[in-house]
Amino acid sequence: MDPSVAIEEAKSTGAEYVDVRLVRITDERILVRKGKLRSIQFDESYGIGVRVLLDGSWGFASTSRVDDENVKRISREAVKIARASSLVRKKRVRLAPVEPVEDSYSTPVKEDPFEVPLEEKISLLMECDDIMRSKGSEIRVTEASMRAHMEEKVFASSEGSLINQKIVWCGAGISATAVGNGEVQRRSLPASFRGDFATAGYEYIKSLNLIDLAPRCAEEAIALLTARSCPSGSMDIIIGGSQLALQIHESCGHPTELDRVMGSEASYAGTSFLTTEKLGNFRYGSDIVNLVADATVEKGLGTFGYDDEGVPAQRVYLVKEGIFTGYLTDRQYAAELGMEKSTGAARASGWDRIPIVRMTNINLEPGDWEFEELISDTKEGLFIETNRSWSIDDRRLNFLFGTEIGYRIVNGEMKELIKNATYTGITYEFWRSCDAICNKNHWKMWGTPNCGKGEPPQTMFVGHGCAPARFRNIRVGVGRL
Amino acid sequence: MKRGSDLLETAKFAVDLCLKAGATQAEAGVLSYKSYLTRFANSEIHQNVGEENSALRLRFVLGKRIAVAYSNSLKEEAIKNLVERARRIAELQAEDPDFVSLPEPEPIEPIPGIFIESTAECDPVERAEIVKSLIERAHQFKKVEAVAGNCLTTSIDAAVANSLGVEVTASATVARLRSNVIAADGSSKGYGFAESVSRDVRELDPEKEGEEAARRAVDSLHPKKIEPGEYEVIFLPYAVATAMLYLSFYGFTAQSYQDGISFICDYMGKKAFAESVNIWDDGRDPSGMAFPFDSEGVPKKKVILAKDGVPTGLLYDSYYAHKEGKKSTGHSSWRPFMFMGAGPSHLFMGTGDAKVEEMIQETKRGLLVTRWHYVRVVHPRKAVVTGMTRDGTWLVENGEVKGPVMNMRFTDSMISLLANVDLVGKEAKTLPFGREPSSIRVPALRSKKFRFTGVTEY
Repeated sequence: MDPSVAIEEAKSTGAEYVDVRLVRITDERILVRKGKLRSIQFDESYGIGVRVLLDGSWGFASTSRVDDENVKRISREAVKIARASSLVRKKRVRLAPVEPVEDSYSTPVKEDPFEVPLEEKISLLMECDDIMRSKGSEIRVTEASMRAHMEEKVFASSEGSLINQKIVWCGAGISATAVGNGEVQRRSLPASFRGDFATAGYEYIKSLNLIDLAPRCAEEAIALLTARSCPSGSMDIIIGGSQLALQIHESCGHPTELDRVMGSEASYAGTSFLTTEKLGNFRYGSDIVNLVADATVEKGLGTFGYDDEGVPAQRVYLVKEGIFTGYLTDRQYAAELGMEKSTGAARASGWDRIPIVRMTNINLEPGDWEFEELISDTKEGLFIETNRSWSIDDRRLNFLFGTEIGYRIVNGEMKELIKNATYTGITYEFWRSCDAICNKNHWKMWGTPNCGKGEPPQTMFVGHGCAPARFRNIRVGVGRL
Repeated sequence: MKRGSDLLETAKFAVDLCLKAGATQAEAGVLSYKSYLTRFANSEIHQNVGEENSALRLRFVLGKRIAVAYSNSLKEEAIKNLVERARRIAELQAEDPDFVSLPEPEPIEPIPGIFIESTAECDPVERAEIVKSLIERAHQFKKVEAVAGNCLTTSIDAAVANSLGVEVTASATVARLRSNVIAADGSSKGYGFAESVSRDVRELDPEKEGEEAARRAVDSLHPKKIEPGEYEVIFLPYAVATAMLYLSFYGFTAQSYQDGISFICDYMGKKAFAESVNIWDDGRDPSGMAFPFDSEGVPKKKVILAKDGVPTGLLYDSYYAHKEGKKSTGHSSWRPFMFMGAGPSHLFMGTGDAKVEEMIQETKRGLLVTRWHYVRVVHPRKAVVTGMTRDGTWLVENGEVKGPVMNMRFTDSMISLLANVDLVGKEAKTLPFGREPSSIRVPALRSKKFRFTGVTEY
């Protein structure tokens, strides 16, 4: 399908700007559950989306029937929708400039995950599941899952860009749920929500060493059944990488999305406390807190060549030495804020969705602590890891997170296991209390393929790089658990 | 786009191909939909989108080996490729001893009036006019600063066929209007919300909704900070709907019960909630967004989930039903995330005899809560959830609304919430959830105590 068909049709019916995305998504999920191959799900979606600007208003239409006749029809429909938008318009949409480009980008992949025989993938998951189930009768549910995703897309715009991209990501995870002692406790490794993911080939799944993680996963779930509950009060906490990744996601990633700041998401998950007058002068965190949006980092789940408006991938500071310094943007909201260019974070979850401002890889830069040093430097506190629940208010201030596992730290040593750990705070107070971040030896990229935003909903895959870090005097043990 | 009988032919074609390819049983579910959403923020339309798409879900069964494959193409060649892929996957599967069979056909009565042409054919200009009316009505309140929300019109055609003789088809429409209004007075902001759903886009009432959300926004200006702790609480239907959804997804599904994870494991057949609490799921009740069958082509059955405060029932798809020697209740979801079994689709909560004003009069010191925001389960077996209040929270003292308070974080068990219900609203409101024809109809509730564990800054 030649995308210029859509561009010409939309322009001939009045569009001032047109972009077209022709996308094929291939997705494979394998789930082993309680010793059985519960499902192999193969999913393919192909279609085209046409976005137009007319009289300063947006219109978008999309179809899975990709032929000249239908593509022309939905191009005209997009124009008709844009005309209707202009009936309820206060200001004209302007776009920050971007250099037109003809280019292509592919995720570097050593071993194509779709080419690895299904038998091999199933065998790995079954082995993990067997190991976990063998650890005790308390283990009631075991799951081992794997996912591979490929997005082949063409972006073309009336400004002259033509970009081909092939993004491949994959990952896997295991979990064990133990029941007993009036408790249900689950452990997930290497992270919750089906594991850890990266833009890479099957070599990444191999590097997760799931079989080595399986005994620990089940043993910790069983041990948690009889562990003491998280103490209540205020204390120092050291947060492990996979949990800290989600903390960054909710309390830095989402509030720095400029469309959210401008009110675009008011009818869904809400707005943001990081309003524009705070840019460059608001103390978001302590001096050691440096947060960067980096769509170029190797293996990051939010790594690409160009965003879905044809803007090149970038590395942009959101927080530098604790001061709030930047936003994730698309072209529209960059222009609205008076920026010279977009920071390249416009992403669409498929051909049937418009690009909106999304996270790429939001990373906390490493500090200079060894993990062991950090523990021994902590007189009394908690080490907590692996997300169990997450909730934050509609301006991204008050949050409460629960983790699967924790340990008490007493006089610089990790002591007893604790269950049902929770911690809560106000975003900027929390990040201002960060006084130690582990060094690059402990820094890792984590991938989250389930970030929700927008109406109609869009699920995006994003990355977070971080190392364990310490936060002082945080309220823990909230609620009756 | 393919419609009813054409879709059924497509489904039967896919099933036949599976059987020819060696399947012992096969099922094809086909959805075709057109969905348009006009979204607004800062009192203008900022996103305006349309999509037309199809989804074919194929289940290829080889004895006790099952494969699932999806495609969004209904072209003959694509279906052939999908069947071949499903066959290869099925051959790789280990046998699942718990699998008994795909569902047998059951008679299904059509439900009249669930497809409304005016919604299916709604023009973008009509949606823009609805949005305009809502925004203009909200701005008649002088302190309203910005209006956000969306207007959605969707038409869905569905067909399911299987090799045991299931052959069903239906079409439905949904129109939805949602609004979030922001009021401002000096540096203070107030937030309000309203939402409604109908089969018929002409039945949406943007002026009424704009007024409801705007009034709430203005009334929540200048909130005071109060201490967290235990309060009596009046929950409006928006908040009750979210609570019921979490309770049902995590508690009343056969899978979570069979796995021993659901709180229902401790309460099935025993008194868990106040006697005035009655919960059921009924996909045929026209006061919800009724739809006659589920994604396996099984007719929707009314399931009493809790009667007079006692949990009594669970929601099943055929797989989890057959494990217990039962029949599916018709709750297999249309696009099940691969890790979930059955789920609620048309939830109802029984009404009582109290007006919200009477609940306020009966409250000594408590909170009036419009909505729950960003709710997550902290402990599934104890049904403990955390979340924030949103879009209007007020302090009630000695039978009167004293004034707005800053949003609060709650962390408490939903079992405790429902056990402490002493007043149930006289009127119920139907609200949408999910993208398929599904809904929840609930009244307001008053609970004698609910625990708040934090407060935010607005």
